[in-house]
Amino acid sequence: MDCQTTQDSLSRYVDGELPADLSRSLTAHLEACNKCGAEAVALRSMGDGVRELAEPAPVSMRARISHEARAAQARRDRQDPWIPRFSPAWSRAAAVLVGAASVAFALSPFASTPVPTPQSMPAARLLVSESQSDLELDGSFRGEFRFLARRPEGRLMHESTHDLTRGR
Amino acid sequence: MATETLLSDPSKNPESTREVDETVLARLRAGEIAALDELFAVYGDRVFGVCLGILAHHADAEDATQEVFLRAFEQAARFSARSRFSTWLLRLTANHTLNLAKARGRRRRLDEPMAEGIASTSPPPDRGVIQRERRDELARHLQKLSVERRQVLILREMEGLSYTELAEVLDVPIGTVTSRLIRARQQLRGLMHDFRSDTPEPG
Repeated sequence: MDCQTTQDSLSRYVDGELPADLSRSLTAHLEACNKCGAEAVALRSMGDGVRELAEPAPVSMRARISHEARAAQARRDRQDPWIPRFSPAWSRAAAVLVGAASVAFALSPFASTPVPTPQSMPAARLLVSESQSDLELDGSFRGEFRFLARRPEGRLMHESTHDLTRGR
Repeated sequence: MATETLLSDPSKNPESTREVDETVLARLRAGEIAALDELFAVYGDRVFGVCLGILAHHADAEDATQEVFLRAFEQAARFSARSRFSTWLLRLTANHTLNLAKARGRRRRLDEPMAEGIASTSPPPDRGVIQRERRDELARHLQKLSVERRQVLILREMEGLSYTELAEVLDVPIGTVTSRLIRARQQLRGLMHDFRSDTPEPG
């Protein structure tokens, strides 16, 4: 094995990702060639250095994460089961409503469903209003309301589907 | 040349191969906070270490770690047992830190606040001055790599992931993992004087 081939394969070699026969040839070359041998040592040393950058998580994090998870659960439990409400904290997080509300007219499940009951349209209007959507509803609306809210980084904050054909 | 040191695989920390058992995952899926607590006990240091390595800022790394665990809690039902749980969790970590680093890169000038983040609160006091300087220098230079190169190097070195696992975590082909690692090492080696070979070229 020559120096060039060795240098090209050194990264995979130090990671133990070379086939055994190639790895053996490379080891033989490293024993004979000071330059390539030193290069391999340097790569290993660099790996040690990167590993040394790791630090344990602060001890306070464990309690904080549990607290946040508990708070998120409580928020979810407090919410009306079908109209999403956002806490001020979420608002401060500059939540953006992506496709603030999308109305899905399901085809087959609603092929024979009744027209919305009188209660359903106010409910739908409230939902649209709360989501700051510019959707307009008219009396012919019936179907499912899918509500998606995302944080700026794309995390889905809330997803709910509301069936407005049964008075909700 | 000490061949045995070249042949030996980098020793993995036993903690880095620990996995939670299925009962904890079942409790996690059921929304049990205590299971999240156990999850953090097993993976907290690993996720934080990777976040810190990639973001190089303590407060950002803490926020990112918290976010990763809260996502894992919310999305536990999506985990399928085809891969190790740690692989799935590291994938969440990689995705989140990639987004954060890119968003930060757009907002701030690269360099100053990040390397300071590691240097300011560490290393432990028993380390020598030279070692500390070398560590700070490495942290600083690491931030000059693209986030994709930094990620793959940190996950490889800190977590000891195989190329197959890295491909899964980063959602890229193995060839991309290989080339990113080669370039990350070449670039870092070029930046770090300490890691240069002192041996004169033959001939």
